[in-house]
Amino acid sequence: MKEKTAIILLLAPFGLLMAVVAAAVGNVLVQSVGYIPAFGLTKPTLDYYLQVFTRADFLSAVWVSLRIALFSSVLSCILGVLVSMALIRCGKTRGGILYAIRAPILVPHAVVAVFIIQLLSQNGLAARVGFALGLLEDSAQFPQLLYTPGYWGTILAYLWKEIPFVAYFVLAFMGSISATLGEAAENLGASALRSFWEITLPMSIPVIARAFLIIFIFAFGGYELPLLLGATAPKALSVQTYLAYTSPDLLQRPLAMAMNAVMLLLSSLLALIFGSLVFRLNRRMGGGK
Amino acid sequence: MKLEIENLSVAYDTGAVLHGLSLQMEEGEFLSILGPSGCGKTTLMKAIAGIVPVQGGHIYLDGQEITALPIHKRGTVVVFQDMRLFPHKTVAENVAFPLKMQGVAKGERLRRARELLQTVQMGGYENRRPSELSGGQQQRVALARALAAKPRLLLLDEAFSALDENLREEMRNLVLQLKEEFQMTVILVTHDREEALSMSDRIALMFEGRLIQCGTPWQVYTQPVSRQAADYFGNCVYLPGTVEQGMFTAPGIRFPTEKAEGNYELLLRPDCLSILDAGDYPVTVETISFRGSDTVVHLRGTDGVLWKKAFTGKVNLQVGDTLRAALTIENPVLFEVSSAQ
Ligand SMILES: Nc1ncnc2c1ncn2[C@@H]1O[C@H](COP(=O)(O)OP(=O)(O)OP(=O)(O)O)[C@@H](O)[C@H]1O
Ligand SMILES: [Mg+2]
Repeated sequence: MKEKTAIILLLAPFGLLMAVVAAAVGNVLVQSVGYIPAFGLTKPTLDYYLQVFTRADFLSAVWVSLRIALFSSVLSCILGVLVSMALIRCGKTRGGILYAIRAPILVPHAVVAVFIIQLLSQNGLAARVGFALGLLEDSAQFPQLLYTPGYWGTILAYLWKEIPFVAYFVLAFMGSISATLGEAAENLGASALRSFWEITLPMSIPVIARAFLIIFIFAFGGYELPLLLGATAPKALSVQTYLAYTSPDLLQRPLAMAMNAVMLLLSSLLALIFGSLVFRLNRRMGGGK
Repeated sequence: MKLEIENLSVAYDTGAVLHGLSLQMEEGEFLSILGPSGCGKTTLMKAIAGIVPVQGGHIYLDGQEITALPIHKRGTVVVFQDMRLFPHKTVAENVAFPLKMQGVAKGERLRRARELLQTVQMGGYENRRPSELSGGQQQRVALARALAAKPRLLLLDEAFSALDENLREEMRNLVLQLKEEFQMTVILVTHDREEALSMSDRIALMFEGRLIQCGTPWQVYTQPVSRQAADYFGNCVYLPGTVEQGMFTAPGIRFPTEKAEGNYELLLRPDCLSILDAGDYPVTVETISFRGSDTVVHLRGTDGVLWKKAFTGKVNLQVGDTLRAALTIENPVLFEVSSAQ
């Protein structure tokens, strides 16, 4: 009996949290079908979803968010794994270097945005250094990375934060694989590179995939960086949705909610597909148990 | 392949492990390294294979210095204490791995892997994952994988420890046979004294990062250089005595020696004691324990020394019996007792 109460007590905060999330999701879904009695909307309809999917700005927003998420997660995983491998090869898997790596993870996104503007705008630090070194005839020759539909500034900002995240996330695991199985592979005649490619990397795929999923979903729904560093059009999905939500035209509300619902659906779908892929990979690695 | 190690020193961040260790091996030799847990045996294997950096000294293989050579170019393969099979590859792929690294085509390398698995009696397990094998099976796969690399120098780090007695015997014979076939030089790390004594051309005794004795099994067993070395093989008995004017004297024993004058201890093992003779060394039976193939009898000498002697066959003794035993000393080993003690 005592144990049961303890479990219930321990699970209560989690249950409460889940209840809030469920209520919020329910609210989104209900409002997205146009049921908001307070605004005098009482007849459920799928019209708003239809509208969402036929609006060019919404579809391009989905595209922008997917693009940001894909580029930033793929690149940060590749580069983060390389950083982690480099640290392992020089035997720096513990101590001070870990604090250095953790620093960017702790910096808030808004602050990162300011950094990136200072660094990469056409009169920013990089442009001025390039000009001073004579690499650029005019600082305006510096490629336009910010506020463009390509969202490269946003992607770079994510990279700045997420490469260290990936490196930190996979370091301990890759380090231990490399120190045992990787070493055995080299002992059996594999060069350091082949040992990485044949053993350490494939064994670490499940961990890397988990880091990828976290970054992808975060970047897909992230708000500050695309808002602060991106173009006015097309907007990222989160920005577009928030705009619709805060629109003074209250009748936009169900539309915003439909957008929210679609975003949620897309995120969950991606997470689900990805999760099952990782699960299967894990099993093939012989480590499923 | 001829191996020469000169003055090798290795340290981890926890402290020095090998202190200026030297060792020579002839081509095709089988050397066992014996020593207590934590004395640095695995570290020595790893240093030879290039897995741990060395702080000082040189390693030569066939006259070529390999101290700074990267791991994969050394041709020294370790069968690790913890096996280290690749969990994401099948048993056959594991064994074929070194061949893959050598660029052998897929069909050929899998065929060779299958052959090697047959030799270690693991035929039929080709498509299993290492996690689906028992400890002894994993050890055999690890051995097959090491052999697939055709090492110049094979380093076995307690490679037989997880095998039962019968299988262990077979694997020992297999290794000895393959050693001849592949002309390999082999170092075996083991805790099993009998294994070391019976398999090796030579035995190296290691204590606290130093080799204290290196010689044929016969030499190491019968002519230990110190009490530490003697005690490692166990069953030792020491009779205190003195050397004066070229003669060692202890109660009931006297023989000439070239040692300098002083206090000594004479090393004796139970085979020096024969109780069937009507000798001049009385002993009393303290305990009798039957162990299956033999019976161990604890005998207390009048000088207080305890002998643990094994007898085969029926033992007609009773606890409390007093017997007139005799000591036969063929190759006496004397250790000086430092006067400080
Ligand atoms: N990676 C490491 N980092 C720090 N210290 C280590 C490391 N590996 C081993 N040591 C230490 O070095 C010493 C020698 O270790 P080693 O593994 O060579 O012993 P061993 O003779 O093989 O022992 P065993 O018979 O138990 O396998 C031990 O005291 C051990 O604690
Ligand atoms: Mg060891």
